[in-house]
Amino acid sequence: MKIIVCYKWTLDEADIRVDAATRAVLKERAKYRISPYDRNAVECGVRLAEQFGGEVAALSVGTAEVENSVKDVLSRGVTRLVWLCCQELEEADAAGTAGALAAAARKIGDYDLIVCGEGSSDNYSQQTGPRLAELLDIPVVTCASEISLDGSTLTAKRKLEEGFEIVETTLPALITVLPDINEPRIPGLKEILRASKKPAERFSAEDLGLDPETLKPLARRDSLLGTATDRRRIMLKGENAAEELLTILKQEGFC
Amino acid sequence: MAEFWVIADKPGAAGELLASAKGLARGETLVCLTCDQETAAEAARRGADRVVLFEGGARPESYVADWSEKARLERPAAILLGAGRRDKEIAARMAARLEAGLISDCVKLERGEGGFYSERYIYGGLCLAGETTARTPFMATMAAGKVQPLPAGGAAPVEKAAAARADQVRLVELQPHQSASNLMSAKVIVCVGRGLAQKEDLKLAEDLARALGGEVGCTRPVAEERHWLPEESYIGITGKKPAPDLYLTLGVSGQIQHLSGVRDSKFIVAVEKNETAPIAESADYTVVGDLYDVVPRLLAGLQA
Repeated sequence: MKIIVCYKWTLDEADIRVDAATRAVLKERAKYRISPYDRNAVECGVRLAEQFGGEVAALSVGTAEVENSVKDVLSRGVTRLVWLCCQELEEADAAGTAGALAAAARKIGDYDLIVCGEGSSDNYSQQTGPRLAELLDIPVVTCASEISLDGSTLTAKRKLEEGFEIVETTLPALITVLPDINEPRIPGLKEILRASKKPAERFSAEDLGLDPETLKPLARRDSLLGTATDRRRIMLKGENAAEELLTILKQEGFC
Repeated sequence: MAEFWVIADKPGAAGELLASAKGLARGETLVCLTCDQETAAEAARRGADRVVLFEGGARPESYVADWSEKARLERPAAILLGAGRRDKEIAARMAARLEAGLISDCVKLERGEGGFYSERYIYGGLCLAGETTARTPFMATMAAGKVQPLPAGGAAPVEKAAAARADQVRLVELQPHQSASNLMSAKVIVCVGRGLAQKEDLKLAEDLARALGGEVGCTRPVAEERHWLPEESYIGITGKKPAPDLYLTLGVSGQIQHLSGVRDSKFIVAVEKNETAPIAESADYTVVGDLYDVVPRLLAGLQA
């Protein structure tokens, strides 16, 4: 079977700083990494291929920065990588991302299953997977925490606010997976060495018949401000810290 | 006449969405699309001018094709949905079909000359992004609990419509949660994080919650990696976002994704070994110490 796993190369928000005075967002020291939710998507696709045979193509779209993800993603068990490089995707929204992914997925062609993470660690709009499925006109199952395959029938357990929903659909289909679907492997030295021998194909928007202008965000970004936390930030240390806290909880009327 | 849509499958969500829509509409007719009878009745009472109750689908997602086609023909100015997992799938699929933008988990929405101005959190809640959308229809999924429903009193007509297009996904079984979580209404929440050494130690958190008249919640890894507490107990930007009077954490280091979920808490107290942990920056008080030492002392003091 032919599986496509999508991933986004995102800034690690743990390294993003906020200027306390101006609330300016300082991204200079932040490094990129594969969006953690997408590591589960990659792992999901790789395990299915290990179980049922076939190939796994990793797929990403973004700016030239994505080049730095090539070795990392290829060491995670996938067969090959296809990615679209386009400067217009710099601040891409889910519409642009899904449009670019759809063109690239068509280029790969003949896929049985596409796996996406439930959302991205940066925007977390949870739109790209379901949008991509609609653009490709294939069924979608979102928020899967367990899946199984029987021939061309995919069964998934979705985790929803009100409980679990078991659904089935027929391949080709797209699923978005939750982090608890698996524990992504940590690439070993052998996988890292093998990664450099695996094929990585880079396309431009024009190669895929896309007008770069159509990939730009649909909304205009007016502002981006760090969130302010207005807390007392008092440390209670030493022997009697627990008792000091009790006194404060009493003063505040909690006990 | 131009329309303003809300789509909901729960009465509470319909009430909130109609209240938001009422504040934003510029003379448009407020139309509620639903597939749930109770929601239809609630919408008819709380601000809708017209309700369309769809029938014949196995689940709300089954109506995506019908609702998208209806939107394509009737061209509503805006479509608002809730921000539950079903809502977000429906919204994204409709937006793709309508070639519309979509603001997810919108926390603030205004309407001006240039279109709709929205705010939402990104980077795990570290940043707030303000955006203007000029395209029609405007679409957003709205974070819950930001507005009060309008008072009951209306009696809008409810029309029925049948699903005309088949769902490509077949519903096999629904397994509703057995226990309803009380986290959203709790005045006090004791939250456990990865600093808790073993599952049995949850008793410490439960005892503390009981002594303070509260509920126990946890961080995402405690629910999803360790499975110590059910999924509906985890708190954070991707989970429950409660606003208790007192939020007390035990062994929670304070990743931004977690803290963003409790930013509306009145008072935050942390018990944490590591004084450089990020939680200290977002707490009113941090007891720097071993929770296995601190909690028994708190319990002793509360029971004295």
